[in-house]
Amino acid sequence: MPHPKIRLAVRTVIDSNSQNPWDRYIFEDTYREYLMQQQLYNDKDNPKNTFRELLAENPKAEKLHFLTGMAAEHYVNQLKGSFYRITDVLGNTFFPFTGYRLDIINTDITDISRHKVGITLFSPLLTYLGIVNNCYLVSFDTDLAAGYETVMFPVQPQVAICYLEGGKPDQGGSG
Amino acid sequence: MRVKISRIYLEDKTPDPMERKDFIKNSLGFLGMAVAVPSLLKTSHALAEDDAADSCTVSPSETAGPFPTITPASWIRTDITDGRTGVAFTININIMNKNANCTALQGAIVDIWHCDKDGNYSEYGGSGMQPANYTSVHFLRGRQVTNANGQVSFTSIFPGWYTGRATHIHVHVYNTSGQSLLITQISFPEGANSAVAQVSAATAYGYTKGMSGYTYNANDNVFSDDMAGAELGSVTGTVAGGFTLDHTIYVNGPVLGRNEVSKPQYGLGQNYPNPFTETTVLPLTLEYDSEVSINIYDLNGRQVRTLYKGSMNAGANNFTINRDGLQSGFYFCKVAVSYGNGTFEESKKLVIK
Repeated sequence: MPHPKIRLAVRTVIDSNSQNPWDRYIFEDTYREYLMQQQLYNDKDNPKNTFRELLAENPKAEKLHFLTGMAAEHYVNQLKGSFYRITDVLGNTFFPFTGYRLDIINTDITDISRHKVGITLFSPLLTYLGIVNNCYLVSFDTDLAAGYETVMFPVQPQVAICYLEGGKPDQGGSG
Repeated sequence: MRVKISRIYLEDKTPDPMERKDFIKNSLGFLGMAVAVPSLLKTSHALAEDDAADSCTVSPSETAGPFPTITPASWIRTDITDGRTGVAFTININIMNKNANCTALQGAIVDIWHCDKDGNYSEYGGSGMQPANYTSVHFLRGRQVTNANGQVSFTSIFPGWYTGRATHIHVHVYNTSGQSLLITQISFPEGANSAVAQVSAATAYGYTKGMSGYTYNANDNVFSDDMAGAELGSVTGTVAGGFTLDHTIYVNGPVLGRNEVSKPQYGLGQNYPNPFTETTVLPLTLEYDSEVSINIYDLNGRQVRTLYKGSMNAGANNFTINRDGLQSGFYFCKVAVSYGNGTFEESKKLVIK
């Protein structure tokens, strides 16, 4: 029976307390981009200072997640598809990802310290073989095979299964 | 009667008087904040992660890194196709300043976006992902900064159309500081031999709709009141050879005679190479002969080197920075420029390997 296939997602929150240079570059660039893009949706003379107020007033401002997120693209690309903060159990495979999405938690056009965004990275399709020792047991090999080379990523906060096809997750665990 | 379309992003807006707020500064403003220096940039063994600071862990091939390098606005690009196919299309836009005798406005930031041949925008549906393989999509969106002639040029594909709207390109013009000057759209000429008609029939290029159900400019809820054709672009070319659009947009740009510190001609570029080992070059363009000081600060905001204090000539100055015994790590290079009554500062990140 074919195993279900999943995608994993990892989300990291970036705010004014973030220390890492990658975080800082994204923090600054997305804030600048937000300042520019919010002008599409905000009132010119009486603008809403925070994103959440703006969104409540103008639901179209929901597009700002995407538009602001474009500013992070170069930095995400510099990781070349491997998120080095999440490793597998052996410590030599990084979390692989094919795409990213930015979400604005909140921000303020008058106060950069209130800027807070989340970046979600999505893995490629993985064969899901269950949870072993509180780790996702997955394989990059998505063709049906008798045996799989597997990688184990610890179950941890901020990592989740975000996509599933071909059956329920617990089908894989009993194999 | 207004047709309600979910895909309309913005209406045409008439230019408003410019505000005085200056949003975007290039200087970091972080020098006052306590920032922990990354503990090791090069490591030959994995370090334990802790909550407060991120450490580098060894990559599978045992090399150092990753070193993020700062990149300016990621939209900036000439080719905006991102793999979208269609009839070749060049978009040339000129920005003119109404407040400066309608002369070219240099240094304006121009964003454009439009739909692909099927009428779809990147990010339609609010996810920005290709559902099939979860790759982020930002196609047919781009940004350029106008040159001395007020020009920007993009390489794209001829837009398609979608129900309820005539073919159009969205444009957002900002001044150099990122403040919005104008949000507008460009309409296309119509008629039996127009580019729109020819391309819509170009099934060999993947345009499948023809003109059946097309909304013409006179009925379009954005363009129907553009009697003077101010939003109408001029399009030349052929399907096989590609089309070119030329259009001039007038904005209420900076008023002549104001001596603002953020003059378009001033520029502090990112030093190159960055990261560097021994020396790097910092490009600084000055509008006038000025008094300049250049210093290096570490991540704690402490001044660690005084590089230069003196006068510099107007024009391009390429200042060489030597490592001078500094440890590997992240630093800020702060440039302070004094001219007349004003002093302003700008910082760039330096990375020493």
